[in-house]
Amino acid sequence: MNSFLTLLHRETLGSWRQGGSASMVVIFYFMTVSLFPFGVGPDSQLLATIGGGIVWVAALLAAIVSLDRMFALDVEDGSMDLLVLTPMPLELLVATKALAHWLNNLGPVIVITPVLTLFFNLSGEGFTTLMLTMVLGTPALSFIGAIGAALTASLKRGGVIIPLLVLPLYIPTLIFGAGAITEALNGSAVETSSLLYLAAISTFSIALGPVAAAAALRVTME
Amino acid sequence: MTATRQNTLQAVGFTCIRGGRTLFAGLSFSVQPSKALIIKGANGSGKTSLLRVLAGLLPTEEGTMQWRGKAGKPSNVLNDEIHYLGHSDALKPYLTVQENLKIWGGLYGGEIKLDSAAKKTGVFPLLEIPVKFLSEGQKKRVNLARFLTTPKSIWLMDEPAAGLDQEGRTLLARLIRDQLGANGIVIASTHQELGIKGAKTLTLGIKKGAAA
Repeated sequence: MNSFLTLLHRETLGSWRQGGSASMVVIFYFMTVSLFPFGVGPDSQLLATIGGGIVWVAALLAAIVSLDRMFALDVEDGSMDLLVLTPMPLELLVATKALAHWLNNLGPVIVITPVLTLFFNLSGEGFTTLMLTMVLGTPALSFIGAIGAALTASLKRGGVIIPLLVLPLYIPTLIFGAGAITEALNGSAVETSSLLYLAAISTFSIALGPVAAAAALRVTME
Repeated sequence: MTATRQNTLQAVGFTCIRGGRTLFAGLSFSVQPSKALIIKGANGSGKTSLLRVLAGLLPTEEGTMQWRGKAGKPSNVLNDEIHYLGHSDALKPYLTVQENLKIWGGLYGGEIKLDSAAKKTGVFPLLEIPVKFLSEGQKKRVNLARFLTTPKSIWLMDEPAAGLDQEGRTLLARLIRDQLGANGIVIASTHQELGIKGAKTLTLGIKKGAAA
């Protein structure tokens, strides 16, 4: 428990002190989303329709840009060797790092999302569903992303390959995340099923992501 | 006598093949508690690979380790009792020396003896300074402090003297002697003389790779 908290603390310090990489992720997310109203034009009906999808796509990209730091920096400076040698099982270590990624990078993204919904004229129902999907679905982004981050951990320019590996795996999360919002806006009653699928994807990736990522790390570190 | 034999670290038949090249095959050696093993050999003879194999960081084709009544793969036998010093400093430049040491101490578990570790290695005045302002030698000393912060039985050190000044090398020799005095085991690869009396030497690069 103590080592879990120490690692969480270490990752948090890394996210915020290292040139404030976590704050860069929020700014990136904010800017990406706010570009769309400029590009699409001030059609409030259209913006309300596409808003949920845009917010979700931007959240995926925000997760992607912060993934390359999850393991690569530790492999580069030799910390990964020492982390492997701690009494902590590698799977738990990876899970802690993924959790820290979610808290520090996607946590602020979720917090800032209500401000962004102002751009999209989302109704009360749509807003509630959007926030629910974000909370339920974004853990999957960190825990699936950990696999891509682990596979590219020892590559010098791994950051470019991560999107190619990880984005296809994000598609189910995106479908159910954005889908739930559309259903809510159409006033259809089936929205809970999308939310349940989203929660299922997150649970599934929290359970299996660390195992797969730990196996990937063992291979890449040789 | 049996206790000593049980606590003797025995490596039997280790083989390491990297990139299709056999670095060592059928390598066997033993290290008694309170003894040091110095690994020597030319560049590329597999000193680092051997240390990484012993630490469990590199898988080995063959080889069994015996220690404290356990036998098996190095990672299963020595796990949780190793301190490893590699070529990289493993310190975060944006954290202070103290924060770095506290984090490693917390992750390695057990009682953290940060102040005494910092005093013994001469990094006490540096505790509040971010690691990015430290020299290579100072970073090495911080890593030695990391070893002392949470005591472990086995020290695996890859070129521990590299980057250290004369005073630092004297310090290193003293710390190794203390570790041996506390019934620990030190396995170090080096090109320089470390000044450890009674240390065994294992020279890599000889075809059959036997311990001297």
